[in-house]
Amino acid sequence: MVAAVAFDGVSKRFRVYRQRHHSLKEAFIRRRRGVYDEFWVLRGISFQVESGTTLGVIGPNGSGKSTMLKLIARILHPNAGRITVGGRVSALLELGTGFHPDYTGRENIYLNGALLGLRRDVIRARLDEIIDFAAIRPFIDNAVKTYSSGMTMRLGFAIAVNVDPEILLIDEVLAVGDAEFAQKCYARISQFRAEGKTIILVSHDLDAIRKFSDRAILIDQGDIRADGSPDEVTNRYLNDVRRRQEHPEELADLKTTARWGTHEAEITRIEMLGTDGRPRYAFDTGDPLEVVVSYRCRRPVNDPVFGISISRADGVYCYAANTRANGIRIPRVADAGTVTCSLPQLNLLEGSYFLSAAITDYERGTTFDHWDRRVEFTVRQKQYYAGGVVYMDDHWQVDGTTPVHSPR
Amino acid sequence: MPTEPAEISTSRQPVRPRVGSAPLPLTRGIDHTVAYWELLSNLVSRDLKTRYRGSVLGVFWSLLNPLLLMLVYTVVFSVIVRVNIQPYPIFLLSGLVPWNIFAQTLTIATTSVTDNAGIVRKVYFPLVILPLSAVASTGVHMLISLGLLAVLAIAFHVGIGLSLVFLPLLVVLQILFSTGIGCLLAAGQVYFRDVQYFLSVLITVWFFGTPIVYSLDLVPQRLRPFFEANPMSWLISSYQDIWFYRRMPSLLHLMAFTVVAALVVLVGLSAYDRLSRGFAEEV
Ligand SMILES: Nc1ncnc2c1ncn2[C@@H]1O[C@H](COP(=O)(O)OP(=O)(O)OP(=O)(O)O)[C@@H](O)[C@H]1O
Ligand SMILES: [Mg+2]
Repeated sequence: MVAAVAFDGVSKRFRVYRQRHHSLKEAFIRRRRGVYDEFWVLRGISFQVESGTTLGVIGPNGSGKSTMLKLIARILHPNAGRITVGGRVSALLELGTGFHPDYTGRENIYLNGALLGLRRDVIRARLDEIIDFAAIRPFIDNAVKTYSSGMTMRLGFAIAVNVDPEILLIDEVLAVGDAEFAQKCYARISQFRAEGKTIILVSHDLDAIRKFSDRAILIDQGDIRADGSPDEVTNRYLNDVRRRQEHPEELADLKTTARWGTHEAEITRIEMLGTDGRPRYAFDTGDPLEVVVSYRCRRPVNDPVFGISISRADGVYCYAANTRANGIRIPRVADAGTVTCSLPQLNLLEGSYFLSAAITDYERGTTFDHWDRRVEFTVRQKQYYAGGVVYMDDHWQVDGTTPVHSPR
Repeated sequence: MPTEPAEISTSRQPVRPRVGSAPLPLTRGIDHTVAYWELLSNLVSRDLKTRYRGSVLGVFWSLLNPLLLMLVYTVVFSVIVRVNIQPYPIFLLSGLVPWNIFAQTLTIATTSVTDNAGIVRKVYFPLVILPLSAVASTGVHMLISLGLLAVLAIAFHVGIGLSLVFLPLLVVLQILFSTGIGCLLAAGQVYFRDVQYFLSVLITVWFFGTPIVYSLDLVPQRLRPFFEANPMSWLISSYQDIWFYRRMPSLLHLMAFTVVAALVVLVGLSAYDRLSRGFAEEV
């Protein structure tokens, strides 16, 4: 098998600025570039797309599908992991990007073609094909600002599919324009497949995914939740959606993080790290891990207590610990720093869990910052130990007879 | 688009064999510049068309500014203050023309990435093209202004001498120097949106700190070192040498500026290359 695209443990992080200084002046004064949360859009995902096949990608809004395509197109760069792309890529991310409104359609074909890496003579040779495909010949010498939005998209699509890519990335722009043009788009995609091009297709149109892809993946919250035949994966997705609708209390309500406190000291990040020091969101029962809470405060804060807690996805409160209960007193914190809680083994049994963290006052118990259900993680049992919530390291003894050891 | 496999990796990952066979180009920057040459010329002509819309009138407006400045400074410095440089307009323009181009290049280059945020976020292309197109389009502008300068030099009976053989060298050095600074400013502007305001202040101060409206001889002896340490003084005085004094530029100035320009362009391009990885998400 030849992989046209391979992801190997790829993670992508975005910074979301809560308060962006974004100016040199502020940066000089405050010595930093704004307060931000980091959030991982993709969390160590791995997959391969075999050359000449079509991969369908589905997932809810904001799950990281477009981010994945931009990584393949090298518009974005990963924070960890490795991406290998073997072939010329054309990305249909947003049609008509880079059109100049005052230019005619013809001039824009040259400009856009150049932006996509096409040489002028190549564009000239394909000019007629592009104009005919877009079916806008009568308007080709009018300024693009006079085009309807459908015409603009048609022109954008016509240029992008004429780049002659080896790998085609399509993000939600499968069927643009009116019914007739949509048919043409579908026909063109089928033709690409017949020519043995590799296609990665992102769409919320599950029928199109079933019709065109050889394989599909489901992305949710930055992880690949399902990988298999398009039928299997789209069904799994529909089931998820249904479950969410039927049991909104189970997911919608509990999943949302909440946050409160005086913000005298603030939590800036909560991370769960595996033994290799990298963020992890999936553990096996018994795994060691570290929880790192980053904080910052505008003014020094006396006597803070740092704590974490874990609850199961269905709301069961499982565990809570803090520095005070551990016999630690922190006289004062200033500026920013981190507090780490090491757990030599995670004694939770299989399930989905949420991690929360808080900073409170030692004496009065005032909450500075409580970030509830900030991190979601899952626990699996490598082998069956027990049922319930926690693993208790049980030992058995049977009187009157010698038990035989029997591996399961 | 180049056909080599994308290299995207981070330091923590061990190096593994790549899928695909084509080798990774060593000089990514140069490679891209060649492959996207036409994109560059497209962007430049787009820029020029916008600027010189209505052709003749456009050129007129773009030359009006230096001519007006020339008039104002001439009145101030040869009628009111009476600087003893004759003919003052040619002396002034020989430094003012390249300076204006320099200032314009930096100004346009600074916002070249943020102005094109739409395509930076959505399309893969070598991002270095953006500041380069700013340099190239003001370069075209420079040729037009230098033509005007030649006409005026003849009109004022200064004439044009053999010393003008140094002109292409000076132009190239200036382009390298402004490319380096322009790249740094463009990258800075993505992360800090007030770089452009900071720049306009800097340009004003730098303008009066460079012997353009006055000559270096008029600077008091004890202040000279400050003026002599300014690389733009070396460049501008070389321009004055070849246009106004019609003599060979000072070899020391030429060599010093060559070294500075080479350093600046290397540092600028490599810093830009590194910082540009974050443009799509930060812009
Ligand atoms: N430049 C950016 N800076 C910060 N956050 C970003 C940036 N780009 C995307 N995000 C965030 O990353 C997440 C994933 O975005 P992405 O566009 O990949 O989602 P998607 O799966 O394509 O969603 P949709 O189905 O709505 O197209 C979103 O929460 C989005 O807000
Ligand atoms: Mg999207």
